[in-house]
Amino acid sequence: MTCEDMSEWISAYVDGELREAERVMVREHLHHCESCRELAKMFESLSARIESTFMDLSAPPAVEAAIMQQLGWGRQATQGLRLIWVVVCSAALMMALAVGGGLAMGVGGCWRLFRILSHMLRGANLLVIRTVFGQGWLGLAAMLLGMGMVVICVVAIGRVLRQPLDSRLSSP
Amino acid sequence: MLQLDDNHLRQIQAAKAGNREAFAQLVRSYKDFVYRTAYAILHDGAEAEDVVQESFVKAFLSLRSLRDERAFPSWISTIATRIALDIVKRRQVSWAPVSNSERLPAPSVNSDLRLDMEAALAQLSPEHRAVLVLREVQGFDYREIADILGIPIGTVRSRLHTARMQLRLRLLPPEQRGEPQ
Ligand SMILES: [Zn+2]
Repeated sequence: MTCEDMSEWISAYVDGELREAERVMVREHLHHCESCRELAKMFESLSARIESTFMDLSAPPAVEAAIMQQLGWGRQATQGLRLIWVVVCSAALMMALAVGGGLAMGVGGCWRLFRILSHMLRGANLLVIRTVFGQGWLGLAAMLLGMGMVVICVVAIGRVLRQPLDSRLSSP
Repeated sequence: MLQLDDNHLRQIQAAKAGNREAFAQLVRSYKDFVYRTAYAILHDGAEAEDVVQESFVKAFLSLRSLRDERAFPSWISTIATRIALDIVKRRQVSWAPVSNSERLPAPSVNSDLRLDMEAALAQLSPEHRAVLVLREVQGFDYREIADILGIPIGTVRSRLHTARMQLRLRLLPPEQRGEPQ
């Protein structure tokens, strides 16, 4: 085998990628051939030089945030999500107040109306009307509805407050 | 090459289960590793940055398909190398290679040495450059390189040899080439 034929084997030898028999053959040749020894040394120094050229290279710091952004976990995306929750919470709170207030006013108004009516009717079926409306069923329903709304609000606000934990990801 | 320790393994497992914090840690640990591959192949800082981004986004979306967590370094390298080679291919089709002065250089300590090396690497074909980068910069063995590029081991060996011989002519003065007589 000529030295030129050896060249590719030597390259693989330097990489430690030869089988035992091949390795023995190359080692034997290197032992006797000065110029192939030089070639092997050259391959080794070339490897070291390429490695050291790129080893101190590092990705720009902004790349992490850019990846998180692309995955939709970025600060902006998180803040967008928080904004949506704030809007949902505000809407729920306003609805709770409006429904609660409306019902309270409605029930109060009805009760007063029936009292006036019953006063006018003087005794006629007064007992029935009082039994139905005197329990305050509607007031109770309004209260339950209002409480439900409040529970929804508390849960939603809780979620808003948990958001900052996730947003830590996007900070560099 | 980057050693895969138990800590990394746990992060990969957690990221696979959808844990964002774990995935962010993985990005932090492997971004330079991926960037070097991309930069050495593309010789352009901005494009290398794009490759890093695209590789990790792709990696997260297909992390479930990674059966063996230990294969993560070669898996992410496969993704990055293919994206980088695609960019090289697109470059060749759409326009002439960007001149060196237009490229965004990577910030560097020993920039003279690097510029020589980059100029020499730029003369190689993308296929030869990719093999050389995977071997010398990333430290993969022939089997891994063959799997990453989807070529036979014998081709890895011959390409690596050709790349080294070409680089030798461009980088080293005649007395350091180890020229066979
Ligand atoms: Zn020889």
